Amino acid sequence: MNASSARIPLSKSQKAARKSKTISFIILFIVCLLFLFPFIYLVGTSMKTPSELVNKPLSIFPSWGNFTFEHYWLFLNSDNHGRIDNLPIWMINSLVITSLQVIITLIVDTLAAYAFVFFKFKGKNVIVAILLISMTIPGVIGTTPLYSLYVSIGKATGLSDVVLFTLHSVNNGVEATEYIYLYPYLWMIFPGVSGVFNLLLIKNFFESIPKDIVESARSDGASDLTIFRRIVLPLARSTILLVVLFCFVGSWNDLLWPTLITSGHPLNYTINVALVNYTGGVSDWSAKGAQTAAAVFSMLPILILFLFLQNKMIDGLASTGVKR
Amino acid sequence: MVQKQQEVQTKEQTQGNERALSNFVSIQNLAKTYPNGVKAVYDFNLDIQKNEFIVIVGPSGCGKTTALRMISGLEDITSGEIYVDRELVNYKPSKDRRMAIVFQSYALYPQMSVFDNIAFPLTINAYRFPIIEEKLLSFIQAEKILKEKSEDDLLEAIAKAKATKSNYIEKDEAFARIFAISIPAADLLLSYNLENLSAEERKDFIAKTINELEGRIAEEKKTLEAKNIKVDEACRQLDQDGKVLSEMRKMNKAEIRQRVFQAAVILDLGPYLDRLPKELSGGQMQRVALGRAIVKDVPLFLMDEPLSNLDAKLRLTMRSEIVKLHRKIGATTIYVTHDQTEAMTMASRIVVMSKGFVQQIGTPEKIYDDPDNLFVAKFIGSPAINLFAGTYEKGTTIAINEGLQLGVPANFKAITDAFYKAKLTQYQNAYDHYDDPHSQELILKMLSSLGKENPIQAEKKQKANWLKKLFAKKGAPALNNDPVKTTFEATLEALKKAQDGPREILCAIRPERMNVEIVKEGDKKKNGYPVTPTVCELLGNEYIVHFDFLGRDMTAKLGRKSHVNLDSKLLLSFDKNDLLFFDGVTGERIRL
Amino acid sequence: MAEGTIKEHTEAGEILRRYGLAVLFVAPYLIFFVCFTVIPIGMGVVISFMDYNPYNVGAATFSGFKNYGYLFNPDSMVAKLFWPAFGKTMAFDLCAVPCILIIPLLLAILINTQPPGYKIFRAIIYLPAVTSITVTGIIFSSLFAGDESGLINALFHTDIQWLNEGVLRWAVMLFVSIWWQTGTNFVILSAGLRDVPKPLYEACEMDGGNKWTQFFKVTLPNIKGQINLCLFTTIIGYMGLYGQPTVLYGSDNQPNALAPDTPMIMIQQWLNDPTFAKRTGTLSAVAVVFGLLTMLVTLIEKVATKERKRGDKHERQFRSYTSF
Repeated sequence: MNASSARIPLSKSQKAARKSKTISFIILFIVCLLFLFPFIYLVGTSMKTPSELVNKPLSIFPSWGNFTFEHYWLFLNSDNHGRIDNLPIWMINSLVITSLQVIITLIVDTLAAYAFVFFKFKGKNVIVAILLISMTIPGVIGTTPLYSLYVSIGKATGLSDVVLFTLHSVNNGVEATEYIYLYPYLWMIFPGVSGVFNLLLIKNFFESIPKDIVESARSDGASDLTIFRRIVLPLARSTILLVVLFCFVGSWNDLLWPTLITSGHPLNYTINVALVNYTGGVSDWSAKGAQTAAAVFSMLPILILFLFLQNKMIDGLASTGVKR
Repeated sequence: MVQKQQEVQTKEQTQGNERALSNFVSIQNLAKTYPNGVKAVYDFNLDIQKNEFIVIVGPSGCGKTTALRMISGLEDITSGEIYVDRELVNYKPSKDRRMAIVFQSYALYPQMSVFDNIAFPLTINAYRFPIIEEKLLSFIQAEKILKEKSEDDLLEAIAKAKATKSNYIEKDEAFARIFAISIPAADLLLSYNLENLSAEERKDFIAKTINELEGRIAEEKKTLEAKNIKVDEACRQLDQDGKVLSEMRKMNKAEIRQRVFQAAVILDLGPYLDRLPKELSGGQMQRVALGRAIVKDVPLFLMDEPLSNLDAKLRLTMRSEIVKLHRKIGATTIYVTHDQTEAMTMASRIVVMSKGFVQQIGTPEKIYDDPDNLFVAKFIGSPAINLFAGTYEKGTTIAINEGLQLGVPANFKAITDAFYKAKLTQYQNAYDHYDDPHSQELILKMLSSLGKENPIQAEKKQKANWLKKLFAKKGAPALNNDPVKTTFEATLEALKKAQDGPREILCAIRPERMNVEIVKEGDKKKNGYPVTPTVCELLGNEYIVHFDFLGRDMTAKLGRKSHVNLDSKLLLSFDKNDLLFFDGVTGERIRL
Repeated sequence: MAEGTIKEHTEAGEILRRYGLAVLFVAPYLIFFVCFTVIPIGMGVVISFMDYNPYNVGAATFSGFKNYGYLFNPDSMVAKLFWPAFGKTMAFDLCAVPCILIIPLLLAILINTQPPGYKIFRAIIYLPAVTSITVTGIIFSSLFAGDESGLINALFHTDIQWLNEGVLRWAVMLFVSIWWQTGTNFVILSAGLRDVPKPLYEACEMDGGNKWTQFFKVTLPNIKGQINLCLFTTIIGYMGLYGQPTVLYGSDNQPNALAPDTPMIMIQQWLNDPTFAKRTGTLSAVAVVFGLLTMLVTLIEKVATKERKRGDKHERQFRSYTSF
């Protein structure tokens, strides 16, 4: 018998380790069930037929053979329920706003971070200090004036009346015209770019790149743009991905500011803002199906992102903690 | 229940064990196998006397740290026993083993000051103390001081004690320290307020108090008798048989301070007591780690490569510091390192390990002059020993390359015959009992002493590659089904060949025993083999000269005055008595 | 000589070029930062001293501390709206913040034992953190609906109006907040736990410390940085509480009721209501005061957790000892 194949009995401390792992497993399992339950409930409810919603509120899943996608269809076609058929529009709003915000933030932040780390210029430290201090000042002080600017500038330049799309619809014989305005988009995309947190993340990473690499590239005659494009950016791939994720989630889930900006223009809502109308424990039986279906639908992009990249997100978030 | 059983068992075991009883630390057949099957330590045996400084040395991965951790209790023991001070410690938790360990990374608590770091073990553990009758002691000591010390001494001490308030020490503690008495005694003396009396009043007062104290002493003694408490001269409580009674209790602040300051004096840490670890240099941190070990007052110190994180210069200073400390404290030390210089300079005895096996145990002189196998010879000594291969058939010469011959004593054939006969019997025996794990370990040990890779590990690596190759292209290499068996068979083959025919003998000689002389034009013809230097390294007071000999790079030493350089012509010669011979098959030493 | 001058020129030119490039790189971000952070904050402070109407900027007049006066006058409408909201938010924070610190810490400790499948557990615990608050609101307002359609009520056959005004609603919000935000702190804390060097635990073990000693003397001090980070971000986040009250309401307290739950909600309501436009100055004052209060709380937190300056007590004692 080969010496290496003999069963080695567990020693005392290994047994203790196993015990603690088992306890952790049990507790974590229960906790995770609790955490998952709301999601399961959401998806299950969204697939119940209206009759089941009323008659069997207790069941989490629709009974076999009775589950339906009708709530989902409802908002993909125009229908009587005036609110719902705008869902695709809102989804597109969110996608457009978030994507543009992410792209612009990425470009602007990486350029600025590169400058802070690899260039020497007067006042650099002062500017960085101001950035850090600004993180401690609550943004709420700026919300009112920003909104005022939004209103004033819109009025003054007439931009707030610019219409992007016009929708005509006929509901029960009544003609209606609804407008999608351009102006709110601008104000939802651009203010988000000024966040300091993402900039600091990228800056921190750039600082960890050994200066020798950049300096040897410089002495080889590469211009800064080349160094930026071909050396620094590829190295920072994981941090950039992280910033993309955080920016995406932050922008997608943002509620307060889009609510302010789009108030009064229903077609300009982001999906998040729109869903506020579906919240509240109001007992509207049929609406429950629509509610939950809309909620599931709105979560799809984030869910997809999460499924593929959750590992990176978690590892990245973990690394933003204090460095030793 | 299980614990009680274990206690009984261990007592029995210990009683019957000679080695355990006659040595301070006895490590017997210690072995460690990890849950994934990897064996880190094989059959480790070592007996240590009190006050020895044992250094376990070996390349990384040789199992030395694992062995140390098993001794300390941080790693579980797969098999074998460890006895410390005639007690079996296998089942004891780390803190009960009466050992202190210094880690490579020092492991200082970052949020505590140096003082708190050193004091930490004292604050959380209970220690055994004799039970002291404080009242009686204070009377006796106070009376003694009043009788023996002059008034001036007393006044001076009182003044000093009062002045310590600004240094955060209570005056009674200071007073107690000045006269080496207990704190209640100091308290009593200070309560008399002698400094407020005039000179004559003082004399009378002192005389009166002495009488009073004598009375109180007698009174107290009567009270204790009535309570049936016996005490000795130091006022410690005694039991029926006259042995000092003791209790387990935590130390009070003054006692802790005392101990920590003692350690601080020895290690020169006084100016750093309030600093945090992050404000300390490497050497200072190391001294704090040592302090934490000293203060536990344990008989056994364990050190895990404590000097590895220091720069070269600091390492030299700390080396001698540790040795001096060892002499001063008198604690038995087991020290682990990969640096053979540290081993040679610090140890009273060295344990050389490689790949989980103990290669040799001995004093530094023995390990250097009389190595047991190739590995020890190559590992110890800087610059490394010079090796060359030769073939021996018969007679008094070994043939080495290029037609050269080495002279050997006349009985060389007889010695080597006996050697190979014994080896063959040993290995054949092991092969016949192949299923006994000891047999397989024999082969693994042999490979380790040759410095070759463990075939089981190699097989695992090969397996991993095999899978890759399978997917890459056709024709994967054949898998070795049992590498140990194969090696066994190959070894037996080689041994048989060696017994019958020409034998491969490896010859080794230390660089300082290689004589090289510079020949200049017109010198008399001398004996020796001409060689040319390839590298000349100046070490300040001597040269290390590298040259090619028999196709290998060898080193020799030359004095400063020789001014050897790359153009010098050298003549090589050596005394055949300085040669060490090793068997080419097993790597073991052939002793003449 | 000529050579020297040429060299100087190119060097100076190089520096100038670099300087220009640096400015180019940093400019986009700084423009965003100035426009959307610096100016609004500056304006916020300025407007708070003025009588300002964004729809009629020209008519703005300076009014000194009048706006602040309104806020601190117990009879004014502003004060009656703001201070109760602030009080409610602070009370809620006092309960919520410890929960959102301790529960993630416990979960992080469990995950640190690495039971089988811990990566999945990690992902599940973090998943709610990327969900938007509106989806969360839909789920939980459905679960906790006041009538029989709510799962909780149906399950326990109770008739509790969970989400109507009252302490119960805040309790539900606490529960939801824990579900929603445990993930972020959990990830940060578990990363911190992983970084505690193992030899420290072993040294503690050798010194005689049991599991509790190890926890308090090794674990906690070494994750101080992460705990501080979580504390800081959680406090700031929960002072600006907005999402949870907006999406969790029952049949009797629809969002636009006149008593805002939190200061942020109040600000949002005012901004979106054109009739309040002429009180923008007052609102700005409210924002400034609220911002200062937030900074005060974070300042208290920072001071309370600051590392104490060490004296030299032991060194002096040592000197005394050795002098005897």
